Amino acid sequence: MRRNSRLIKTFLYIALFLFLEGISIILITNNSIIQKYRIMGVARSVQSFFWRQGESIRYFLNYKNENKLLEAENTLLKERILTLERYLDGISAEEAIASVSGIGDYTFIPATIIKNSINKQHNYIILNVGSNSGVEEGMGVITSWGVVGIVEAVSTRISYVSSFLNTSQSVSAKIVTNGVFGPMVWTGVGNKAVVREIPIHTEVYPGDTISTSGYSAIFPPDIPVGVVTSVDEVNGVALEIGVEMFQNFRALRFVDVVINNYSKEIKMIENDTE
Amino acid sequence: MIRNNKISLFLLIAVMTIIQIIICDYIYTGPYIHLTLLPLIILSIPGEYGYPKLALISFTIGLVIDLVSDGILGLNSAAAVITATLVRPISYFTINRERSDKIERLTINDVGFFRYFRYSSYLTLVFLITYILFDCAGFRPASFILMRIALSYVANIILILFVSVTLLNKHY
Repeated sequence: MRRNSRLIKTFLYIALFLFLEGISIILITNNSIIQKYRIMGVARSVQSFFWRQGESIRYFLNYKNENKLLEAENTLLKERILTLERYLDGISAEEAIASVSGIGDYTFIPATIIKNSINKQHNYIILNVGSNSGVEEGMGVITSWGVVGIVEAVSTRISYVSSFLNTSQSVSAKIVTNGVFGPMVWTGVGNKAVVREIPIHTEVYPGDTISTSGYSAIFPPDIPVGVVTSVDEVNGVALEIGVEMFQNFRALRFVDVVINNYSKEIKMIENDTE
Repeated sequence: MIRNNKISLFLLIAVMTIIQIIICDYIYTGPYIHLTLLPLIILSIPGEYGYPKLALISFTIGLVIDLVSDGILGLNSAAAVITATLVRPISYFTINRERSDKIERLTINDVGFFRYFRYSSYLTLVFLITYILFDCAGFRPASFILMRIALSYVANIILILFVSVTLLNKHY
């Protein structure tokens, strides 16, 4: 009993100390810019250390799934190589050069996730690459399994990405079978998303594939995003398509930051026309 | 009688707080010396108060000095709280547990000059290290910080021992 009360007393003393010291540190950070950046810098390094350790443990525990994903990605790439080889075998050298002239619209910066939130309504991701690696605000982040998010802030070594698991973020997506497109948004639950504003006469069935449309400067076209699970009529004027996303955000670790090589020209033209 | 003694002690603490504010605002001791009476004020708070009261009083005095003087808000209170937290452990370590618990407020007469010197030295160092690190770490070189701690310690320990001998060497 006495030991318990001593324990409670010690705990209360520690809480009081942390409370008073906390107030003092908050006052210091709010009243001096230099101290603020220094203390926030130290706090962020401690935080990122724990994030990295946590992610390493999570990655280690997830090894099996990661291998399966890599295997599947490998198979997909082999299939694409075979298809391309068959295609290139059937055409002349000039035609081949002409057909691949589109390659080079996008380049990719490989990145590793050091922090990934998935349980909120506005989730975010921290990447281990920053402006030193060429990352800029507004760039898209993808994997072979779909869209991951958009870079919102960049420091020299890390980037803050607004995850696609964000109820306020939308991506232009299309139905692969007929090319009809609309904005795709996360529903706020699990791996489910909806594609809105699809014309009511569109033929779409559960099982159809949804991919990125490419009608933005952020994401390349034709990245498979998910599969149609439901089709609902909205007010008799449009369809709302339920989508099960391919990308499992829980198992996310390696991503690619997309650089649109023509983004500056696109922006320039947009600004001129405005 | 006891009540009068308590009033005298708190008047003395109030006076030391005012002197500290004057030091902060009007006495410029150069970049290397930070003169402070706060460790001494914390030493003067009666031991019978226990940790919560001691921490709260130290925090309040630190905050008042920060508010009134022309410094960074929170700097003195942060250092004062850490110093108040270590008053007991340091007194157990430098004097001894039984004696520390028996004496209401440690004076040179009670524990002897060298023990009091060690006790006040450690507390002053704790205060100065915390204060100077919060004030300078990250944008001042380590050599500057170490020099500032060393010179401030020498200046403060002389001041603390002088005040302890002249004003605090009796039980109020």
